[in-house]
Amino acid sequence: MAENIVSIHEDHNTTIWLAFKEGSWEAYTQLYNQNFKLLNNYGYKFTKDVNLIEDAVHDLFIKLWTNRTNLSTPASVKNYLYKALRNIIFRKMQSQSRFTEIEDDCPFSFEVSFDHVVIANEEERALQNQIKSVIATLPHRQQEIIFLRFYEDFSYVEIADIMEINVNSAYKLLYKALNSMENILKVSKLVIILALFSEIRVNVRV
Amino acid sequence: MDVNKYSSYTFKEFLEDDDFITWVLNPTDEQNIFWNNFSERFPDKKEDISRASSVILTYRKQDTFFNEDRITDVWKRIEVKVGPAAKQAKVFRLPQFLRVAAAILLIALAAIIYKYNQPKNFQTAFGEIKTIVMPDGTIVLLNGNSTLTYEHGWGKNSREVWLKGEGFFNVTHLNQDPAHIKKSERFVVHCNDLNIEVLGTTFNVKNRHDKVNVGLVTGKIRLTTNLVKKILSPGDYAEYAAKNISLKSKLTHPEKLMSWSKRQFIFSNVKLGDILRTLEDSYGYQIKYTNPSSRDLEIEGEISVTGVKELLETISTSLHVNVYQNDHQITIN
Repeated sequence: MAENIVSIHEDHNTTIWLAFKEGSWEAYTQLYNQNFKLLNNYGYKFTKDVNLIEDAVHDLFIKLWTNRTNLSTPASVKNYLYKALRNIIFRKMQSQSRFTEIEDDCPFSFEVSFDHVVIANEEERALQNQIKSVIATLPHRQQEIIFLRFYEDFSYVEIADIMEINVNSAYKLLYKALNSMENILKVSKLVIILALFSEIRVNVRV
Repeated sequence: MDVNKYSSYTFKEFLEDDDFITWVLNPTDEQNIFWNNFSERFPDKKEDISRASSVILTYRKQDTFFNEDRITDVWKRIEVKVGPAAKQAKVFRLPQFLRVAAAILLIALAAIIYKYNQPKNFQTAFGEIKTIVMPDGTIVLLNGNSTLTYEHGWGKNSREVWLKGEGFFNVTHLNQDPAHIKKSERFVVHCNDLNIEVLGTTFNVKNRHDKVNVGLVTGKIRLTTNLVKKILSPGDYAEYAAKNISLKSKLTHPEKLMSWSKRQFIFSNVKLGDILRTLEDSYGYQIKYTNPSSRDLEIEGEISVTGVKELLETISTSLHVNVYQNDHQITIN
């Protein structure tokens, strides 16, 4: 089952993690190379300040190396890295906002952009527009949980850990988000019959 | 997985279901079979399943920001901080501002020491005349395209300078007792391997083209090399070339030797080539002769003019040659 795939991937990450904790520079390099792109992509959801994201990734890895002997071995390395990056970015944005006034609810911007996505057909374009507009109406935390669930494929437990809420709240939060989305997305005027069982492929895998 | 469980599922409930999402994101054969069977049995759920999965898949096709271009640069920054090379250097670390301060201090100190030990150097460009007052009050007029060098701590033990090009010296007399001359009372001008030793005199030295000319205005001069020695008295004009010192005819007006310092040109019975040579040496002009023999044309009598322009006019009229000046090029026709 798919869980096996995920766990195999995690096993690999965990092996690297253990080697890194032992002080292996190669493992540390690998950890960086394997996660750099994902972390930047994730960071970009909070801010469009590219320098801030880079600094955050930089700080995260400096912290990892200097504290490596005191680190535990997380169930999911990706989960751990996301959570840590999220905290660093929040802290940086907070200290930045002391100097420049930012809007109240600014910190998250998990709005969806499809500007650079090449799309195959009209139905998909219509769906894109629907998704984009409905996500934009959601509170930021709901936007974030949608991203973590459907884009990053995190489990409720992992999401709860990253967002620093309990698992029940994570369920509720996603439920609320889906509730708001349901009416707009449920019924399509053009009935899309995707060739479900042949065409579904893993996409956006880094 | 329970087929019946899903029979009453709504669009939204599919989106909440872990197994459903897992299938959409990482479909396996086993799951495909399950969901295939399910939609066969519950065809009315087909649209919800289709819709829910296309929402997820479309959502996941959003723009990405992987920042791949920067992966190396950011890594370099990390390496500098905690990389294997950085680790060794981390033995002793001052706070950032102290490190910067220490670095600045070191550089400043090095610069001062360097400057302190560096010989002092005065240089003139073509056509430039400089007046240098030495620590002992000696005045040196430096003609164009010339260099005067002396070591740091000058005057304490000896007064020595090195000259390239042309200079006029008015040396301060320090000696009180002619019977006992201290080393520091002696003023020495080094020109290549010729030493010009004086106590307190005025004289002109020209060190160009492997030839040194020394003309004495007042006082006494001793010329020495490894091999020879010569004493000059006022009006004497000596030439040192090919390791040999020779005395030229005595100057009736030796003070005219420093006429160049007022941009005056004073020549008597001199060949055109020699006159123009000074323009090359001190002013940086390039002289071209359409007829090489015109170098040997001699101006009879004395020329005394001020400025290059006037000199060229005088040459032109007295020698009946055409002189063209184009910027720094002078052509004699």
